[in-house]
Amino acid sequence: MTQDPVDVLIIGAGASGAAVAWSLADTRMRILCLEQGGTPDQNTFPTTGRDWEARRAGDFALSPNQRCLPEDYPINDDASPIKVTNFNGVGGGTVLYAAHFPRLHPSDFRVHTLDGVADDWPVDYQTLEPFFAENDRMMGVSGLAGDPAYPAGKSPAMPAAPMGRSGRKLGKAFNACGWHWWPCDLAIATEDYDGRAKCINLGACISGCAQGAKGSVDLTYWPDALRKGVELRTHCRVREVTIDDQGMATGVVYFDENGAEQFQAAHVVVMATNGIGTPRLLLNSTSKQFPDGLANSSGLVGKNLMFHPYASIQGVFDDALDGHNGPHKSILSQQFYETDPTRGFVRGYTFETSRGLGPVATALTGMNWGLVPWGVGHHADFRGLQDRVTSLYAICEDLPEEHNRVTLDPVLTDSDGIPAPHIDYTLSENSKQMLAHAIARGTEVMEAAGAKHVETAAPIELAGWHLLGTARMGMDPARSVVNEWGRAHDVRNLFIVDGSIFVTSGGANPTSTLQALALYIADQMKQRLANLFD
Amino acid sequence: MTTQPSHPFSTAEQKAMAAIVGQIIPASDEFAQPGADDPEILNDILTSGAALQGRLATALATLVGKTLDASQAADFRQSFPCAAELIQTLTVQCYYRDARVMLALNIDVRPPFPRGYVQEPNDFSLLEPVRRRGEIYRKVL
Repeated sequence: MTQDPVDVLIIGAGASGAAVAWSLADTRMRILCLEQGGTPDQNTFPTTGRDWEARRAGDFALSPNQRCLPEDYPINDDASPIKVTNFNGVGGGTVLYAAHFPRLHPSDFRVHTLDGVADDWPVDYQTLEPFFAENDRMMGVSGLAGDPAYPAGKSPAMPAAPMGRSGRKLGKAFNACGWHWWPCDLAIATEDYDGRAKCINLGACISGCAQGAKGSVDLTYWPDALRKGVELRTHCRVREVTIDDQGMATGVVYFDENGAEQFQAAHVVVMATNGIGTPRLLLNSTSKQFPDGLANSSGLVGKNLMFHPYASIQGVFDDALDGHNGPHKSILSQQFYETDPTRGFVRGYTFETSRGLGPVATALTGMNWGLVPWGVGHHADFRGLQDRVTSLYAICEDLPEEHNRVTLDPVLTDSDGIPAPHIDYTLSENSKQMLAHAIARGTEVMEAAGAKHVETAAPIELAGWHLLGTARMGMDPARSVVNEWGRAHDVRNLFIVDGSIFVTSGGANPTSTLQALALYIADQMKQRLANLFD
Repeated sequence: MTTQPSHPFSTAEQKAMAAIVGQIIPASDEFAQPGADDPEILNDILTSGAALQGRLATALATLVGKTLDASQAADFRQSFPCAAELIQTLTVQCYYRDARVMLALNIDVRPPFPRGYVQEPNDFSLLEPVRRRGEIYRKVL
């Protein structure tokens, strides 16, 4: 069945799709967004029940392979030490993210010039700055102005979230080491903000915020976009983007909520399906003109996959800290963010704290560490850990390497029979050195804080939160998939706005940058409407 | 009229499950806490673990008719590491949401939402050393 054509068809209702939909709605064009999942219902989120921790291993698990909901597609990540996490539904990954909202640094956009590795971006921090600010306002960011790790001008709309006992303890430890730290910028309302109630410290941000204080785009961009006339069609899974003989996108084939195949015609197609979903869809969209996948004349679709390898450094203390009470993230340190050649690696990382654990996580973590036994000693040793654990995570910059890639799995398909993504990924030597450095420095911090026991791990397996680089942007069509304003080099009415267009990963959570970039691309489209396809 | 159980575990498997979860978290007089083999908690474990019955059947079959001690529980853990980990996770998930256990641990017997929790106010004077050191980001021309 064929639907009436729309002006702009956006695939994916997550962080970037929502931002683009909201921005393009200014044009009064007919805009339709197709989303394979549904709209989350806060009333059913885990923290509304006492089984909230158990649901993290069930219907709110981070991995789609574990969650196995109808809207999830399987991902073969057996050949990767880092497993993919995501959420398929309106809001995308922002429904389950911790809402840590740092920006990439100015240096991140000039990696080749500064460090001789990877490539420079075709945009810079200064160009994106107004879009960072606009996005902060839309997402509702809390924090503290004046962070010396960034250029002046960043001023969060709301006061910083509480650092808590754990944040204060680690902040003092960073001071003892003589290192930078600062309260986190969080997309979490610390005051009632734009229809969102303020945070009440539920302590389960990554299981969805039942209070609605967290800035997930189903609560930020989407209500505004829908009021402005954007149509959002849920439970619609796109199989392929179609093209005509001139190589222009004509629309998409998708399966509707009843599993029926549909064709939706569109004058412009915008892909916002993340660094795994976008190459999957492009590689599934083959034709005579594009036998190796749509917009893939460079051969780079799916290549240069970047995660952020994470290291964890967890300390056990004698005194009671926060437990799970409060937003996950409290403070960060970017002492080791910028390149220092004496460290043995290029680029760097962010330390972010993670407050503490609920009782189930305390017991399971203690058992995993061998600190809480089976049997009679269980109860006393559990009490030795209860509310006494806090963590540092290092988010390490991952440099692009073509052998780290997304392809189509020859066997695995989703419930609609669409070939599933297959991940091949190995850690680089640079990443290994960086992880080792982070563990050593993080252990110093924990010891300075008075930890009586420190546990470390790297890379964290279930930490493929950030899916970047698989349809990179650039000026050279032979070395990139989209141009400097997000348009595919090969298909003049196809745009990509998600994390797949990142040229490098930076060493910080990408959502703020990803959304600023999406707003920038939408702005470029609006400015070029008269000659968008030239 | 009899009520159908809300799980697929046989009577023998239920007893085996009670034996092993009671070894993982036994009752404690010292802390006034039930064991994980307490009927109410055990029922939660069996119900919540219904989907796992097929994956646990072989391991549980080795425990049927046995009264376990700590040493036999350790042997079970070594012989069936995957099943033991599944049972351990399930046990902990159900045990630490039991009202009696939460009370004994001084945890409010309620879900986090809607009351939430209270945090102490921030003290930004701790940031003075950081402010004094000044900018640390790399300049780009």
